[in-house]
Amino acid sequence: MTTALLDARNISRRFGGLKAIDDVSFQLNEGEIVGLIGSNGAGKTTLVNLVTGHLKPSQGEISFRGQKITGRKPHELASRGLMRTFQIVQPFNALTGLDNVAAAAMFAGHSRSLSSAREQADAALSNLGISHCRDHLPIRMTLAERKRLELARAWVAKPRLLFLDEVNAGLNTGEIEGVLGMIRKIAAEGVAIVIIEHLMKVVKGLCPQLIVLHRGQLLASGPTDEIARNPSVIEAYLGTRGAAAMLGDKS
Amino acid sequence: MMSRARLAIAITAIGALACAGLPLILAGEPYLMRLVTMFSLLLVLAASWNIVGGFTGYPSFATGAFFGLGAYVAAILQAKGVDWRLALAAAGLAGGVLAAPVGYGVLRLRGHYFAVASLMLGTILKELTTGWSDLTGGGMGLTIAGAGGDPEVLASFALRISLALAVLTVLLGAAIKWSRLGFGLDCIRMNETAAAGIGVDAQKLKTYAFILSSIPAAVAGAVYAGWIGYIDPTDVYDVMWSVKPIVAVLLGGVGTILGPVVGAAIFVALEEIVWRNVLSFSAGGLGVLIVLLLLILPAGVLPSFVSRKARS
Repeated sequence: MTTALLDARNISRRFGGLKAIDDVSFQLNEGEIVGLIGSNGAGKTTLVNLVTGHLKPSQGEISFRGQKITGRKPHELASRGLMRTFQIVQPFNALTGLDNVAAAAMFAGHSRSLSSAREQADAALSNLGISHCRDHLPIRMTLAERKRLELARAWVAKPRLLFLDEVNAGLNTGEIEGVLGMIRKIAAEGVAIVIIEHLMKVVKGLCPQLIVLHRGQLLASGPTDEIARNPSVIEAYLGTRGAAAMLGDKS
Repeated sequence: MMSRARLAIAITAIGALACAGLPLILAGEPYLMRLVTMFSLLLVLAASWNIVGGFTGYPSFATGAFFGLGAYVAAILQAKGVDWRLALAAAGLAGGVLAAPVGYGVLRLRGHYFAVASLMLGTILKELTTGWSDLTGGGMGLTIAGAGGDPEVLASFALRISLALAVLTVLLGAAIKWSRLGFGLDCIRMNETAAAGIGVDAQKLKTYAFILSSIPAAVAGAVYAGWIGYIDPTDVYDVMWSVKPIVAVLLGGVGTILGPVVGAAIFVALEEIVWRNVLSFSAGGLGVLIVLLLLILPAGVLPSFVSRKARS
């Protein structure tokens, strides 16, 4: 059996008396796209924070590519190939679109020089269809463009695993289509992706596998079709109509 | 915009000319010599503060601590007969060695907390220096022999050394700003969370910036000690050594390469004008002038001038 790309074992995180994450275990494999779903407050963002080093688990162990990473810092994980985007976009406000991406190529992507980092950034911007933002400051971009800019940063860093925290939040239908196209392009490079998402249409279209959190605990995980039929998931999160929508096209 | 190479060459050439020419031109003008030496020392402190306060966005009040430490290290060594060049190098080294652990610890704090913690360093060093009187002379201070006692030779020598140090510090700032380190510091200043997210080791880069900024400040203290010939804790650990460079950089342009040069020149000029005209209320007058300037040109003289030119 090959080792998993990411292996989280029995991780918990307490905030005072609240168990935000309670004894959660899961594995991710190279190149797979997984949806992380659950109602508000289920612990999705906390779980991402724990895995990407922004929070330390109170208990449990996490390994990435066979090495223990529990308690490692975000910058170290980013340069080892474990990256994330933020629910609220985090651009560098005084850098142009190009340099926002070049910074990622430089530090997480290990570019030798600024000029080679900029070359990679330029390629990423045109590949992902936001070349027109090249010389703009983030303040002049739309929310959708800033979200795409974050994806471009992840693209040039060439991660092995990428967490996308509600990357579609606040976008309209057309903009979501554009972002989904970018996610597919990144995935096509063999990057494993975990998507936190509330829109079932997006989850169904993109993720063959799901992880469901409920009140800090792992409620279910497995192939999307199975999860949509899982009675406890239907009761806790999807509802009968949501489940029907997820299965709709296929049955 | 001038290319980087041309700017670096221009700074070096003008600096070399000034180092060679000014001591000759100003010979027999002790007042002007003193003024240019004061300007150069302030420029060293301003350009070094700019690395931490400007490029990195951490408002340090520790400049005076490194200045004082450098002054004492050099004075004590020279009193023991060590060559002045070695004494200056040792002062810089002492600054860097102290900055490494202090920076690593204190740079975890942000904003006001960082500012206050960095301010404490000077206070602690001042108390230690006063208390350790066997080595430092305590409150009595220390006298440095100087260049064989000839005040004119010493003045010309101090002018040349402080100008050279100022040029080197400005070039150091440029080298940092244009390097991978400078790019990382930019990211840290704008958004430290996002910087960590793209693999920037903020703690390490901030500490590097702090160390690199402390070294010129400590050497400046050493030059000052040799120039003035007598130091005591209340003089070299005066908080004004931390405040003046900040004001100079704010006046000139925070985070720019030439901002410290412009700002230090304005500051020294203002200080002289105010001292001459309103001696009885000089500190207050200077303060009012600075506040007015900062209100009119909040980004500093240099960026305001450059952007106005770019618009027209």
